[in-house]
Amino acid sequence: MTDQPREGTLQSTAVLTEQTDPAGIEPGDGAAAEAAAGPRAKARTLRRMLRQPVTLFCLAMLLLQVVLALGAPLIAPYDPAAPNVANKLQGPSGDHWLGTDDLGRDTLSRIIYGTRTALLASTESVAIGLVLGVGLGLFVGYRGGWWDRIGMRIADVMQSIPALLLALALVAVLGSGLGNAMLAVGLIFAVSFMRITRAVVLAEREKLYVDAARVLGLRSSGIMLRQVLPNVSPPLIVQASIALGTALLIEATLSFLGVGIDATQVSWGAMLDASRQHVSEHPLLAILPGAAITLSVLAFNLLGDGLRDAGSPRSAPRAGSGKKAKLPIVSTPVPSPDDALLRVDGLTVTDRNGAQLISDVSFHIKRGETFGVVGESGCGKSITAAAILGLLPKGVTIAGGSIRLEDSELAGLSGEALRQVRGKRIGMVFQDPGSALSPVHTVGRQLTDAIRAHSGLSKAEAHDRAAELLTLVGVPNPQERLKDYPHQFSGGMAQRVVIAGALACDPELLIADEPTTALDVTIQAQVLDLLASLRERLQMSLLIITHDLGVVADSCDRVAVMYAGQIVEQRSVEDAFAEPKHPYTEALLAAVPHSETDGEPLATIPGRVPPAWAWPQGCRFNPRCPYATDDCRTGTVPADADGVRCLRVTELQLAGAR
Amino acid sequence: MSTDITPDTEQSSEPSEPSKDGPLLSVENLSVQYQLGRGMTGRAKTLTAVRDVSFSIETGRTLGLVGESGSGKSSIGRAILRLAPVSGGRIVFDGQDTATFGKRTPLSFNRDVQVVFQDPMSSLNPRQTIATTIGQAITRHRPLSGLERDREIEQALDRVGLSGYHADRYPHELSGGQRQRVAIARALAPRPRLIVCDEPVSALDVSTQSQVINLLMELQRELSVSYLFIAHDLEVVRHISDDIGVLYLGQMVEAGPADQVYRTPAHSYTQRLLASTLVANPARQAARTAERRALGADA
Repeated sequence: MTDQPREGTLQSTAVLTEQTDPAGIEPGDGAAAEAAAGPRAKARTLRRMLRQPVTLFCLAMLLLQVVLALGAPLIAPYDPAAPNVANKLQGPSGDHWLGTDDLGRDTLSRIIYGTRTALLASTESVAIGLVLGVGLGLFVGYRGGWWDRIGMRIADVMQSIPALLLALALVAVLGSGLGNAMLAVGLIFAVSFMRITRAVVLAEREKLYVDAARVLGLRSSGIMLRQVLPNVSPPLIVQASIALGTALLIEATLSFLGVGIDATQVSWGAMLDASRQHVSEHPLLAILPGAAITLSVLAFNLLGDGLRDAGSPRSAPRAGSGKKAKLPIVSTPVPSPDDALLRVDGLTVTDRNGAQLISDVSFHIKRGETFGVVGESGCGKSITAAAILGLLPKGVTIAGGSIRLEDSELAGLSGEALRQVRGKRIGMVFQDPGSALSPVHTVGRQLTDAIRAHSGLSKAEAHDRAAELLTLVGVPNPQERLKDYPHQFSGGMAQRVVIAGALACDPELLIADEPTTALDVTIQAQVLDLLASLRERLQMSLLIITHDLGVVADSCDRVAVMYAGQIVEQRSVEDAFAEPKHPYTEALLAAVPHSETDGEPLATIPGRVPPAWAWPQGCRFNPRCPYATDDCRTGTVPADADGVRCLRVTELQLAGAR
Repeated sequence: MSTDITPDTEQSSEPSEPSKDGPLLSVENLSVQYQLGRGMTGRAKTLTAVRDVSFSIETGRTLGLVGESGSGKSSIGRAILRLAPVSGGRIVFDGQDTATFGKRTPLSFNRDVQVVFQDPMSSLNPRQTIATTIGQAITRHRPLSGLERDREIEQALDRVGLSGYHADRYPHELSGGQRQRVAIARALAPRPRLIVCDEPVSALDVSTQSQVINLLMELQRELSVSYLFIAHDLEVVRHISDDIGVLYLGQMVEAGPADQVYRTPAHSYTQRLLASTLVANPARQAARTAERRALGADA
């Protein structure tokens, strides 16, 4: 069904390849599916909410409470305050469903009227807290400086006063009454709301969208209320609903102590107090208001989490994630030499919905060779690396194929067997050195831990080995630097440390996933040089995963170009870049700006990589391919001896790198 | 100097007066210092991010600024946008010294000078739909009725190659390239004359990168808008820029026409930067690698 609209866009995108009209740039095949997906935001929020049974239950509880509170005079069978001493302390009966108390008042009616008091008290205090706290928090957070310092000191003082004591004091000063007591509670709440608001505002204030709003000349008040406040709401919603529960508890406590309410009001706390003398004969008198309190507080607490999740646009389920891509697993074996260190054959990885993240990926890496995997994001490069290392995300599994390191099979390994390979025979370097190193331990500690995990070395020996490794990767002054924390290293030096860690146990294969993407140009070159020299000195093989064709040209011997979960071309870098055989390789090379593209528009690839559940039928590149014919849109495309998946491989004359 | 930067200027609420001859933006001996708070001794610590940098941009032209992280290139952009403190020198836009604005930036300046940031994910409010984001950029400068605004939003999206149905989307529902298009649409909404592009394509895939570069150049031809294009990739900067300035440790070490800087780099840092820039051509890259190792041996 989704194929129909997509067919329509195929024709147009194929024609647009070299066109520069901005209106025609991104009519990707996702567009048709996107246009059909997703109603308006509010409806989506509602639908998300309906999928959470706990939230629904809490909402029902809240609704029931509101109905009971508002309609108490209509719903309650008796006047809650009317004594009837003749009927005192009765058990449940047809007249009094939940019995009567020591003055003969109907328990059910009193519980219903108690809801009114409880809701009024908690909403009053939370409303006061929200209005005051959020307002002040936005103000001090956005203004900063002295406003912030003074505001926070006052908050510190306020928070050292117990809410209950302040409530008692205010009641003493302003006179008794629930309103005064809850005013005190509201003031205390305001402080915690203010702290949360301020903290989030401080974080959000640094975001670029706030800068963009300022550059647009939006007013400060507008930025605070319309830009920042919505982003403060998730923690506030949780806090507010928990505060509702807390306020209810405080109200019950005050009533129990006989402070908050006057005699005419009915409260669950007061009911508990009254039941004390009769609790052994009539336990129901204590259990019923107790259950009302507990259930209400629980509902408030759970409601907060549910509302936060439902209100966030990010928690939307991925459109179409429910349907399975029905693609056959077709294995086309690519010949690999006997001396290959790593051999991946027909590797297919699926997610929990059965969508193939990578399909039939086959390649090999020889000893001492640098192999590159290149492609746009979303093409399965990192999934391939993760599959080799057994680091696939939860729910993602290897559905077929094999991964052999020399003669041991890695696919399906787990636990200790996997640990013996990962980190020992295969090392890994991640993209961002900042997040690959733990900020709370010294570099020395992290390196020695990595060394000792796979060797029987003593602490001292491991320390020496760590210093040796740092020397190896070109970190000056290694003995001293082992005592430093990661933040004391520059980006390039930190990446050297990560590489040192990956080398801890003399791996035979080093996998580097975008090893230089986060680094500056000159540092990137140094790190690539380091990897090349390490490969030579340590007789390693290197697998470099990158989106940068320049990195491949600089460092790799052979390259696999990946598109939409498949390898579409796999050859020596010189051949593949000089005379590409797959249109995708040609398109990638053409899109890179270079010295001959002065002023003229760059070549682009129309559209974008489709999501894994919507890989196109036939050749997966066909919707974006300028050379696609009808044959390309049906059937499967096998890989030839060069790993090229293109039906027109023999007839096309493609342009290489300039 | 032309003022017809937009197809229909009659809608502009505050038409800026035609300026005297001279560049649209001129930056003279700019320095930017950040206060790092006070140290234990009570002495204020400062970080000088930019030192004595001068350049100018004509209407409809692009100046590219290259340099590494920490070279001060983003600080220059932020100083022009009045998001970073100017501690020395002058920034003159359209004949007017921005220091005379005082604390309140005039709305006309906010209309004339816009920005596109590197990371479109954090530069778009995650809780606002695309329509809201672009709508408020339009209505802040041109009060419009709801219907007119919706039409303008659609036009703005169309101009950057997005469809009308994207208006109801949230940023996380779009791809990186689409998000950057939204950021460009937002920057164009007030009909600016200068856009500061702070690493606008660094976070994008190569194919998406070329789409966005083409879009920016197309829009420049159409609207005569000027760009200050900040990036670390010399190849990208050379492609889009008329002139290039090379920054190193907060100072402009080399400036000139793009082709000249690229083909005959004079400063050793520019040479090193050029030699470190990777090209997707194995033969040419091999030559560069050799050159880079030779330079590295010198350093």
